[in-house]
Amino acid sequence: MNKNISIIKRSSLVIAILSLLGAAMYVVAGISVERMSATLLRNYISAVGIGYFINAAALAVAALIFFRIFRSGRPFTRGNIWAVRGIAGFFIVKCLIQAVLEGKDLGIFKAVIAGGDSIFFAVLFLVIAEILRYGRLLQTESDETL
Amino acid sequence: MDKKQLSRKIKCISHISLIAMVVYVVLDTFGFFPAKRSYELNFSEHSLPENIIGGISMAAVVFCAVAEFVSAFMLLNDLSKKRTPFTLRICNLLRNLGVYFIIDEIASAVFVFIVSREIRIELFWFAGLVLYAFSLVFRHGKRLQKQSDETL
Repeated sequence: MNKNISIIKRSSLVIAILSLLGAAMYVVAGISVERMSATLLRNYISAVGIGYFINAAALAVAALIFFRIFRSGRPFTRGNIWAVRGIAGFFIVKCLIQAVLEGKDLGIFKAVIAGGDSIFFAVLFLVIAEILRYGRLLQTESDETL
Repeated sequence: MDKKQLSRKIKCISHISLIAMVVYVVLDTFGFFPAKRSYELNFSEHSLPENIIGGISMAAVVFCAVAEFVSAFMLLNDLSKKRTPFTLRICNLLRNLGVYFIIDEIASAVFVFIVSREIRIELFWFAGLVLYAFSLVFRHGKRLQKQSDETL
């Protein structure tokens, strides 16, 4: 059991660092895309740039989750469940914002279909959150038994 | 919420995800989504070693794409049917999915570099690592599930 937890802790630290690096890269990419679209098309907010910023936020939350797992060695906690739900929320917001920004050009229906992958990821993260919840129940049971 | 209710909820959302995944792949296959940039390997423009590496990486990308779909389908199918999400089969499927994502990313980066001399890296390698880490978390969950079953 302890060996497994130490592996979880080590891999969580690696992924937390990589998530932070990824978030920083997305912020830089978002800024450059927004600058480029502001120069080429005045007063126009690029949906791609906004998408990059939301990805950066999702990665920052992922870094937080894995850092918490690294510190405590307990993946099934209330904080982690809410953080995973938060990532699902980011993807829903991303889809909505892109539908609004691209809706002018593509039409709302096509813009929502184009953001289908964000909705899919949101549902997937909600599944993960519920599995973590189930794990939390098992963890509580195990703690009470011991 | 007790374990039975939560288990039912997980099954329900997994079932929805499974249907959404199949619909997404069908829509993508029939070109409903905005076209992505495509890369082609022109054998006459490259040297023999480049053609061989390009061919191998292209085959790896195709194999990984099929393997990812099959693994994700089996994973969501298992989640929507099994009594608990923490089983050895689900742990292994998650781990395999993570490995396929990482191989896919490396192979496609090599292929794009050979074809267009561009370095294009997406986030699939990261998704692969996260899935691998989650497979370890699921292994921990499997032990807790076993403890819980033995206690009852």
